Amino acid sequence: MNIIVFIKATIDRNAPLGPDETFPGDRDDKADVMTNNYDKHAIEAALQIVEKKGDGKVTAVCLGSDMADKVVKEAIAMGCHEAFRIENSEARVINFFSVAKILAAAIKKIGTYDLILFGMQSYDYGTATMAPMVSEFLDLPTASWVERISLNGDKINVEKVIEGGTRTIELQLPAVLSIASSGDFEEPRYTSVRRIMKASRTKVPVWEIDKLEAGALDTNVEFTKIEQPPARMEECVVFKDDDVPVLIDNLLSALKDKGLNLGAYK
Amino acid sequence: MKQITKIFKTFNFSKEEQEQNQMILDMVYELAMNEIIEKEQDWDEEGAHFDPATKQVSYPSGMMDLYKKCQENDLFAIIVPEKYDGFGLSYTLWTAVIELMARASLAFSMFFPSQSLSIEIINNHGTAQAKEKYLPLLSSGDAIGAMAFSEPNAGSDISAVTTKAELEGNSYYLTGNKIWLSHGGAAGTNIGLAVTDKSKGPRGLSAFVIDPEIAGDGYEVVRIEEKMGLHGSITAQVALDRAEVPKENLLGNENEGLRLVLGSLASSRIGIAAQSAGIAETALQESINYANQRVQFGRPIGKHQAISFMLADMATQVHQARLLYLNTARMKDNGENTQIESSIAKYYATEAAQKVTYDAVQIHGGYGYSREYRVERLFRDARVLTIYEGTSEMQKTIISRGTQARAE
Ligand SMILES: Cc1cc2nc3c(=O)[nH]c(=O)nc-3n(C[C@H](O)[C@H](O)[C@H](O)COP(=O)(O)OP(=O)(O)OC[C@H]3O[C@@H](n4cnc5c(N)ncnc54)[C@H](O)[C@@H]3O)c2cc1C
Repeated sequence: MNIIVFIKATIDRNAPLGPDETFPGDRDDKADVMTNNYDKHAIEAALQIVEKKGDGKVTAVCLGSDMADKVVKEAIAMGCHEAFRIENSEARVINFFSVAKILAAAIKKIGTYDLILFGMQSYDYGTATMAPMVSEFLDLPTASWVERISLNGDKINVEKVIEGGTRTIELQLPAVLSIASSGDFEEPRYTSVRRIMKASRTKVPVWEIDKLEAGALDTNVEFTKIEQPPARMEECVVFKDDDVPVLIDNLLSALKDKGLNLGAYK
Repeated sequence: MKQITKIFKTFNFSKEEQEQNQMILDMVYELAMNEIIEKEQDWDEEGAHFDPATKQVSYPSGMMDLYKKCQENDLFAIIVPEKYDGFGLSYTLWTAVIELMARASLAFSMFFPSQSLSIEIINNHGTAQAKEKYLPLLSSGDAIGAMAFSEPNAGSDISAVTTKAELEGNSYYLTGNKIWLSHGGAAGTNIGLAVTDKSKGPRGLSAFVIDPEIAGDGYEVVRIEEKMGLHGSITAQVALDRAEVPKENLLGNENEGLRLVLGSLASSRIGIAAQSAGIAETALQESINYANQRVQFGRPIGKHQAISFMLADMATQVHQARLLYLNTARMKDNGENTQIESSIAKYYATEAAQKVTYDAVQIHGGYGYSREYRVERLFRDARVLTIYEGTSEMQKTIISRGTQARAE
């Protein structure tokens, strides 16, 4: 079982925002970076699968500047067998569409793989688009927000989060998954001193974007602006009635009037 | 974390070492601040346990699960030489780990200073057999290390111990009462001090590794203390009744135990200074948060000069405490004798922790006196720091004697 996990270097969550900043994602590459916390769940999933299967290899891949070496080494310190970085100094490529193309090209270059894992979203931009886009470029089946995985020959069964519950689906391998931060992989393992020592002695291989045959990296997605949604004023309504069923009815119809989808409630 | 990192950058670590240190501290920070701190209040309320029927001690619920995580993450192996399954990393790193643990829970951090003291004493003074046997166990954390020095009539003056050790054949047999034993009954190794030659007074004491598995019924917990703070940590009274200690568990030479023990305490005192910086840092952070959010007379109390200056004093003392312990640890890594500096660090940092936790309660007003707020526990927990591992008065004695001797 060969698993590729993609990990992103995002801004250190503990770094305070500057006075003119509204969004930490703007500062990628300028301040301290850390592993996107959602990606640690993907690493956990990969390691659990390989441990359960008793054979296989987990390769972590990060597109980032040399500041992201730290993130690559953390992946090794968590237990990934191999890791490398795709050089993206001065944040040359940041639009998601092109990033997905580069990652897909890197997967092709790696060649042998059964599973490709992502975190469910990134801590900074949070678009949750990378896994589906990469699966499209590679023409592979995909499932997002996966909480549980069971192997089934050349197929896998996964439980993925949907609104109000989970859905179980079967996918043909190789497949692309994004891993939820809940479920079986909710608690990513820590690094350990032993693996940190190993990681610090590892030289992180660096791949060049230009050698990946990713195709044209222009984009039809334009990133124009990030804004905070305007603050809204809502009035507070208190429902009062001694008869509880009546009280519930009043509450639900008020919610329905507000446009909330209440399913079976008419 | 940033504060520790900044100070580390001023030390002569190689680039690779800096990177290792940072990764290890990041991991410890996550463990301490995500998991250990969550349990701290429960541990304080539940306390450690002793069952008089079975004579068994146990830590409060969940504490051993987190201890296990420390084991899995190889934390106890940090300063153990590579030869004994350790990583041979710096004491500077080790003490910073202690600070982070103490930020989360002083009771939990108690696992660390006594572990390193046990490792150091056995590594420096143990026989080849003792090293082979105990260092790997202490390194993995499978054995908790404890110190059995204090006795009812031997506190600051540990030369007054009366526990006697009698050599019969290939073993010593120890008889006496040890008190205030942190981890007593739970530990895998107990470094003990006992009389081997009564006629020689303080020059007739020897140090041993007491292994409860070998001592069997000869090592028995009598009770555990009900304390003002540090409830989650076991503090036991232990009766030694012909507790067997094999000859190879003698540390150093017979009758040279007092010097050996007093000489080794300089190291662990740096760890107590680190604990103090940790608990004071948390008291400071809690106070900053509270002072920004509590409004009186129309503005946050942190904007009133009296409170803002209190915060400034607290921050200054925490920084000084941190500089002192890290600098002394680095000196030790460089092979220097730190007898005086360790006492200065211990004295300053533990007293600073009193002042900082006291002020933290003051800043919280009535809420600071309530069990619901963390600062109430910090204040109670911190109180022990100026007492164990040598009281402030004893540190001053060492500092004064040492500096005067140096001047001569
Ligand atoms: C929670 C806790 C955990 C502990 N863990 C351990 C442990 O694991 N192992 C262990 O061996 N011990 C342990 N101790 C014991 C601790 O080290 C002693 O309590 C400490 O050394 C002081 O001894 P004492 O309590 O007998 O006080 P005393 O020595 O009786 O001191 C009482 C007071 O007199 C002062 N005093 C004494 N002599 C002088 C002097 N010459 N000049 C000036 N002032 C003096 C002291 O500073 C103090 O203020 C622990 C104690 C506590 C509270």
